[in-house]
Amino acid sequence: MDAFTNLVDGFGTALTPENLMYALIGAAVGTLVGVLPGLGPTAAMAILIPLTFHLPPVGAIIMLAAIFYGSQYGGTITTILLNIPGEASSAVTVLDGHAMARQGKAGAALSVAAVGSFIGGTVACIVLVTVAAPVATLALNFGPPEYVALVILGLSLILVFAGKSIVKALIMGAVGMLIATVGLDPISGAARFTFGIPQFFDGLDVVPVLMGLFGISEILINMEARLTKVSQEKVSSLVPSKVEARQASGAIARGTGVGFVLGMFPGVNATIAAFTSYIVEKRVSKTPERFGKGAIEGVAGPETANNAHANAALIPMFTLGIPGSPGVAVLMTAFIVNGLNPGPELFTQHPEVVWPIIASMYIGNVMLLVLNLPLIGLWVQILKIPYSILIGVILVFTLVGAYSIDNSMFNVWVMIAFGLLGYLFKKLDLPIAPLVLTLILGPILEDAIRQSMAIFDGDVTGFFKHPIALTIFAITAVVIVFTARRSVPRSEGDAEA
Amino acid sequence: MDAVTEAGAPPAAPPATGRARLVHQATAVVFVAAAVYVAATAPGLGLYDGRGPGAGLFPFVVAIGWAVLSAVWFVQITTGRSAGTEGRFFDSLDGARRVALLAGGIILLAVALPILGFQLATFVFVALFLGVYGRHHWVVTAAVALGASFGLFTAFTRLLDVSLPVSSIPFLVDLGL
Repeated sequence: MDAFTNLVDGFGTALTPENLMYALIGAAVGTLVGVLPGLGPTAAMAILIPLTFHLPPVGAIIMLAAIFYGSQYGGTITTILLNIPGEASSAVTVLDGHAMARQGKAGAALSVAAVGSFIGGTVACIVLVTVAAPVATLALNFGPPEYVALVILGLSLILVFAGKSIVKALIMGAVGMLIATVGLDPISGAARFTFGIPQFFDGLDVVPVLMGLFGISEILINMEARLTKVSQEKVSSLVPSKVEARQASGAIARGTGVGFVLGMFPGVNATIAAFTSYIVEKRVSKTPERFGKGAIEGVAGPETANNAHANAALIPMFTLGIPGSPGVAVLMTAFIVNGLNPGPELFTQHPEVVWPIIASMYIGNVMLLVLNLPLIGLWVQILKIPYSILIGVILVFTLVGAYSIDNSMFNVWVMIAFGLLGYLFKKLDLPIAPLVLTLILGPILEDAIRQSMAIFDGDVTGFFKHPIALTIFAITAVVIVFTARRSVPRSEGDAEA
Repeated sequence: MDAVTEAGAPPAAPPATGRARLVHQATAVVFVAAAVYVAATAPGLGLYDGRGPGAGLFPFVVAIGWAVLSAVWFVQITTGRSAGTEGRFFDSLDGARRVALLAGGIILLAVALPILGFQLATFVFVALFLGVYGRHHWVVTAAVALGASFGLFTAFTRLLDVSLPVSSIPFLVDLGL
């Protein structure tokens, strides 16, 4: 069956009342997460994964995916009305979005952002359908040596996630890999770093680790800063003028292209896509001096780009099993805990799962458009709920989630321990993304290396007899050299930063 | 996403060189020690056998890398080549107190859950949390605490069929807690 037929079948499943409800809940929660400063989509997904254990796998992942891309919509509302980026990827929208709001054009800014987000997300979905299946088919020829190369390519993203210091990123990568080795060795049965604790024999469950690292630590960080309400601009007419519509249309088209292309590169996050789009818009504009003072292209381009990016970022996960960002890594965990291994075999072994999820992304984007424009007033009202109440309730949900993984307090303690560690890591500016990346990819790498070495009879040069693996190694080398060269000034500047 | 600092919050504490650096250095030392421990014990799991790498090879190699990188980080901190090591570890004493109280509260809640049961332990936790941080009207505090404890317990156990901890004290068990 071709991709189109599969997609039609996927729509058949995604349009069932049950799955529509999961998509709607996910879209609403995603918007809420985007609206609320202090809780990111990665933390929200990590907190909610255990609660989806009781849902059918397709419904659970449809809901979590909708949270992931839905948060991009919600982030815009606070950015424009309150001058607070609900999400980091909406930060650049502050420059012109809030300026438009101060000029009484908040409605136009919000509607252009929502329509742009819808177009960017939907076009990215269409291209995802076209690209994902052929790439996955190609990757089906991969054996353990090719997987070693592929995972090492994925791990090279640590350099991209490095932030200010490559050394710190590599340290965190090592920590993640070692956490992943805890438990009984799958080949020899040897107990690795279990300290005689029976609960460690199966290894640490990734979900409470992620809930702690992202959820609890984020709450602690926010408690330290103390959140409060701020004043907001009023929402005017949602219809932009003809001139504004014309200016926005070109920006939306360019933002879609920028977001989608950057989304396909693992490690390039939505914030980079949004900033790149902003720079592109300023460059192509005949009146760049308007930017920063309420230029509608400065809203339309970045908001379109971050949504196109959110959907395109799923391609490396669907096709190769490589999570390109912490958010996608958490989503990938949801696949794994539901017995599904993201990667090329997902399309052949579980088409009944993957195509409804892709189809639901079209539906989710429509829902988000409907949820966002007419209900802007409602989302703004939610911001009036005192933060202390929200945090109290979120904490209880987090606790319930960790406990419900296997109805034991062990995972609650794991979550708390990693929450405190995550807080410490954030305070020390130690990036968490590399830890998550290696926590997920580490076991895959170790298994693939050991299988490859068994195939090669212990001869490491066996890798050189596999042209696909060699090609991927060459690409990895280019990525590492390119990223390291780009990072040199950052590392040197680290001292002064 | 960045937190929004309350308008009118106390000004940032004056820099006190050395405190943050000490925490960074201590962390680097702990990392080196942990890495050395892993590298020392991993060979006992088997580094290599006739079939290929053993259970200990992967952690051994990673631990060596971790130790070297952590040592490099320690040197960077000590020589002033690592960012964020100047000034205080906490921006304000008030912030540190809030974090310590919440972290301690979460730990106490986890300890209390199997003893008092989800409903009672969570009710007390949320009520105290809102009392300390929110300072809402007692009716609001009570309503939220009841909803987050007894309400959620009912929703999860009856509607979603998710079991939650119940008390281990017979008297409380008799009360349905």
